[in-house]
Amino acid sequence: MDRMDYIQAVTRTRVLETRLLSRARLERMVDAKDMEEVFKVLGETEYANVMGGLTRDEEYEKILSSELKRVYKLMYEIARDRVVVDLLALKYDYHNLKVLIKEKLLQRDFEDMYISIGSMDFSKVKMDYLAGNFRDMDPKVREAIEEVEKDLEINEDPQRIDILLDKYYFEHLYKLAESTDIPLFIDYVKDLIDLTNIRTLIRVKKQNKDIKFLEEVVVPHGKIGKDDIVLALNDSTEGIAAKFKSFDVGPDIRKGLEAYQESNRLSEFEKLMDDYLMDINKPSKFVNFGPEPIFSYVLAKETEIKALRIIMVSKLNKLSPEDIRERLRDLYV
Amino acid sequence: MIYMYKVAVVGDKDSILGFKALGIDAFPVIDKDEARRIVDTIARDNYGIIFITEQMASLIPETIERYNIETIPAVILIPSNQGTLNIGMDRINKNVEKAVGTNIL
Repeated sequence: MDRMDYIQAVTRTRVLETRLLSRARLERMVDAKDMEEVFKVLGETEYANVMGGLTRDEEYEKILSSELKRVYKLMYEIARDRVVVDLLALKYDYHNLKVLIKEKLLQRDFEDMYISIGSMDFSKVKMDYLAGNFRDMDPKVREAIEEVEKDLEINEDPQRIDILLDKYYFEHLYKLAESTDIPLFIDYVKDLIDLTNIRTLIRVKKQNKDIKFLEEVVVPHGKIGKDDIVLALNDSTEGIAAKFKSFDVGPDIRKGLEAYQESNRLSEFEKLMDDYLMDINKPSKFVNFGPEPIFSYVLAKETEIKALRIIMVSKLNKLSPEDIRERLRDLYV
Repeated sequence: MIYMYKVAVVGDKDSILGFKALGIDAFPVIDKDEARRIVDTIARDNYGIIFITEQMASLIPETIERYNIETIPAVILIPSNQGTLNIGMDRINKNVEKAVGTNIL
């Protein structure tokens, strides 16, 4: 990847960055008295283009998904190497794979569960899969599908579809990041894996599952060794926080676990997780030659859309502004 | 042959989606026309129990009333995530009174 290839792409992204929602605008939406007011504020932003044809408040999801689709399409155009955007789009491919395999297994139509974003042409993957034609598929996807089908025959446990595909997703994601040789991307993936693993650890602990199950669901390639996480199963929450405090994600793990102990919920941990991953992207604002700003912008848009979804769902269910603020993620700008 | 009935839940999406995990079919609806249509359709589609949120039921009292006199399906009112309006519990109390002659709850 030649950093000089990105001069124009970064310039275009800089312009787009100025249109990201500011904290102040989000605050106005948080304090809005109903959905109508939220839409009014949103209509003053770049979302105005995708707000047409909306008849009911409950259709907010349409706005958010068309905006996300628009961003991915645009950024694939802007980025010189698809892999920069692939890093964030890959999760939708694997989501679609889960839907596809379950659809075939149950012989039912889950058309509305598919997300039409992704690094590959999914309608082709779907056609090939249903026709039993695995030849043209990405070898990683092919391996994942074959492994899942083999496992289904032996274990007949649908939960294994998700477990195995998540594992292949992180494997695939790590390989993608590694191939770019960009420190931010590798760090992002490694930290994401660490945080996901710790969250898995807490959940497995809470469900009182055994160490064998944990070993199945913990993903390799993080900065924290897989064995260290597996062996932490019998540690107390304080013990876990102390054990991993020297890692990059250490301070956030500690804060997240403290919140978990208080509330017995992982929502605060997940918020800190998103905030941390946004935080390591902030230096991209000062990168002028290289793919980092493209990646960070897409992530910023995803975070922004997530924030809007939190606000809108909360407004529809009449949550108080304080409750919304507590859940809101940090923004890029 | 043992006949298996299905169970459905009707209401606003955020209140009822969790029921899916229990194997109950969830039908998210937004306004009363949609609610009335869904309840009438699924009543004829082999559903033995239809749970409906009180908020939604209060919008379509005639439809709910119509199923009161039928054995199947049983339409049961449940509170939504906005809290309860107490109509569900009132109905149970009334039915108990009818069955036992006095309110024993």
